[in-house]
Amino acid sequence: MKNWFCSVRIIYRRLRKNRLAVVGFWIIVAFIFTALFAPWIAPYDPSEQDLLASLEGPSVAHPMGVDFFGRDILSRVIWGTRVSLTIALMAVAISAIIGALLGSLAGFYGGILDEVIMRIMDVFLAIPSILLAIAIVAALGPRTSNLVFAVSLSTIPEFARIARSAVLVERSKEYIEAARAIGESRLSMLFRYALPNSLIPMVVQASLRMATAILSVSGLGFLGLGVQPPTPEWGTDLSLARTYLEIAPHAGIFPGIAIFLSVIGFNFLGDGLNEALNPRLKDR
Amino acid sequence: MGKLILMRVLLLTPVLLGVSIFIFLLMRLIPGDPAVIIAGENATPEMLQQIREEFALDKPLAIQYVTFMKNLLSGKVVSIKTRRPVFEELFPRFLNTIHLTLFSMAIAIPLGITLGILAAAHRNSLLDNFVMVLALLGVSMPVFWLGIILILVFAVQLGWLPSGGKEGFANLILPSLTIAFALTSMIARMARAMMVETLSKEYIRTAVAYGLPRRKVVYKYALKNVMIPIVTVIGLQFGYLLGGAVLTESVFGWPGIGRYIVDGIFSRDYSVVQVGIMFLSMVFVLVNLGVDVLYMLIDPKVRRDVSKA
Repeated sequence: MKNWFCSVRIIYRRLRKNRLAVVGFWIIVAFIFTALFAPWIAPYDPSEQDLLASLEGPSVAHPMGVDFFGRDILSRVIWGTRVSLTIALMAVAISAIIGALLGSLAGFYGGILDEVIMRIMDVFLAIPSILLAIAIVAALGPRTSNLVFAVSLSTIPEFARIARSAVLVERSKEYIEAARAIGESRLSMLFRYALPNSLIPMVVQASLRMATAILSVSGLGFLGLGVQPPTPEWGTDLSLARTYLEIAPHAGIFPGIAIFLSVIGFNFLGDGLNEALNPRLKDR
Repeated sequence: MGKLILMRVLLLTPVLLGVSIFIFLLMRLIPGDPAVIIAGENATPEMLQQIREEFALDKPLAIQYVTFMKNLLSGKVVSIKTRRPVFEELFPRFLNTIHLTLFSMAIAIPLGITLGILAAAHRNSLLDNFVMVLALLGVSMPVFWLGIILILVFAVQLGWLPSGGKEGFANLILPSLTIAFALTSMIARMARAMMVETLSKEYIRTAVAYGLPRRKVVYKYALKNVMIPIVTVIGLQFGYLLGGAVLTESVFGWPGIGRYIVDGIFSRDYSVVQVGIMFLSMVFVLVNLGVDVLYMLIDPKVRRDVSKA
């Protein structure tokens, strides 16, 4: 465990030198802050309608303008942060945990268990991820829990693969032999040694997957299959704005910027982490 | 060689079987009477009875599945809305999607490879940093938003190009650019990573040590070796693109297979959804197989290993 802590410090030091990763980190911090304190930051109630102001452009009172129903877009973007981040975070956390468990079991025990688990993963890799999510939401209905399930299912195989290969590498190392020699059980070896060692590549993957999860959630929203109105969600709001694009482009531009920026944050951080972990990639 | 390809094909069978079982079960999870779901809300009792027999809905789940697959493979599954075989409607739309996809690839592949290779050849230069940041922005951009921005600029403001439809060549430009932006970024990132990897190989260092001009080493020897893996990875993106076209097709009203499936969801036409997703997954898996086989045929290293085995 001490060893693991050391490597985290080294990674942090390398990460700080990567400018893009630092930018990504602060973007994410800003979004998390916005999500946590949405009720205090948002100038208006996101569902408060002022029909007289419908589709008004940006002004001092409404910095991002007003949507068709006369709702303040800035407040909706701020509250939307909470919705998007929560769903994406839950989806990634669930798929990381399930993926790690399945992958490490497959890698550690090998044999028929490995075959069965990885073939099932192949099935979910074979269905293009956005279609898989669409199919699940279409069958089960666009409830938040179903959205989380829909987005996480297509991400599980990737996590399983990472955990499996990390465990395979660890399994052949000497300290596992030693642990076995002193009579430690296989399961406790898996959880005490092999799994913590796969944690770091999993974190990189999680950051990159947050980016794709946000894109999937807003994509589903855009198709009308995501979070249902009047709940503020970037993709759903964008799809409403599309109808009035010619008269009120601002209603479509700002939610899009929010999606774009948050995805950039997680991609920058994930990419930077990746480079910090594989120094070979950067300075060779 | 032939044996190896056959093995790969055989390995696909369980995957495709798994996909079909999953989609079948998912559609059975839809709340309500499956006969009503298949026949549509305003079906007569006789029609419902006919559907129940045709799909063996009163039999155990396993038999229902086998019957469904039989109906599916014989092309008998009909759309609820139009009453025409789904496959007949699906195929022309699939060709439209391919049309769009190929056009986007024609833009993205040469551009992405060139940018990626140049970035790798001039590592940590201004050009490299610029290309890599641009590529990161490209993969972070929500395609539907980029599509909307392009429509705003080129269709609404400038009036140069149509905002949707599929009448002529002009209609193809904006949707392909939308897809190509993300795709170029993805390809540039992969090409750069692979080129960087190759440039660190021993034989490259040896060639440089022998005094060969760097330009020749990079653009002749390294490039030759890196092209095959790059093309393979691009091939693997093709299937992904087919599915990902859903959003772009919705923005631009392009009558492709993605939009067909989404329309099917909204009209509760589950036969369309089921057949559509099954079909796309099949294409996805087969394209990946094709790329793998092609890779085995082209790469002399793999070919030699295979003949030895």
